[in-house]
Amino acid sequence: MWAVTYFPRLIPLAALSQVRLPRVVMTWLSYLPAAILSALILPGAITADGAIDAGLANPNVMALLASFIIAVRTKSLVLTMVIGSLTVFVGQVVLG
Amino acid sequence: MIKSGINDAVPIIIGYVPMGAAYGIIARQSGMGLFPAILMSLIVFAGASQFIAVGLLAGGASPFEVVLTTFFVNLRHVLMSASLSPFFKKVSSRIIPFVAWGVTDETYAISIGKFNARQADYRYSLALNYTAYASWITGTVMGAFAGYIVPAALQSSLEFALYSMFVGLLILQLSNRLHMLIAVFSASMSIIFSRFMGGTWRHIIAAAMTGATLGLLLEEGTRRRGDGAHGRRGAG
Repeated sequence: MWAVTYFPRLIPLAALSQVRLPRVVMTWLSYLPAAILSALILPGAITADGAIDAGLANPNVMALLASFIIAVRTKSLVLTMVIGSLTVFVGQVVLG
Repeated sequence: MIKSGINDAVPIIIGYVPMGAAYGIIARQSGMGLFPAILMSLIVFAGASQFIAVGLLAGGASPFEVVLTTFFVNLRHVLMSASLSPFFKKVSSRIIPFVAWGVTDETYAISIGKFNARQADYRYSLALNYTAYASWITGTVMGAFAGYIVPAALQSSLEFALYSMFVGLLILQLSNRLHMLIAVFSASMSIIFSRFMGGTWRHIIAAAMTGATLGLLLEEGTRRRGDGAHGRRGAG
């Protein structure tokens, strides 16, 4: 368990940091953060019990929309997290 | 750098402590001993994989199946580790293994933004990663040892906070229109791939790689058009 979780994190960092990467690879890597983050967010954030639920009755959908709006408007990580969790919390209480 | 690494770990702690506690409780409920449950957080440090492993073990899966599944679930860290590598060129190869240990979805998401903004170095990474690691273990101990239970509604709200954090970090990453396009494209591909591939991990890797590749193609395309207009060719 240790090895299979450690080596995927270790090997690319240890090996690729030692070589001069071609420009094409560097360009590819520069798009990875945005690509990884968006692939992590959707569908993960709106998946409930193993199924994607994009309906507005899912509090997570509302919370995701709220998070986007707050993040774009304020660029504040903390505020985005607070509003996101609050929306989920209120949504769950209301939709019970 | 160390101080800013610890400060930036605060959003992660908010998510990791309740999630670690949830893992600790579930591990104990599924029949795992106190020590093995905590040991798993100490030597594996991979949230999603630990939940899956506990489920598989409780369902009677063989150790081989558990290890194999864990490996695949964590393959996405190959991309994150590769993405961080250009910023570790001048860092001693003795330190890199310690940084690598703490690379998770969340520490990656926070640190890559700081590295791109030239506001991070290996000390920042170490401080951020190990503060996150400590909070994951703290959460696990609270759950496994004390049966610390966060109320259900609060639990899912706090876990969602990590997704809100990803959203905030994504927005900070989007420096130009091409990056925005790639983000929208990757998210759409992730949904499409998850339909076809099912499970918890394949679609993330596939969508991230497809997205980055489209970004590369579009940027190279514009570069070529630009070069052509100036009547010269790139040397590299």
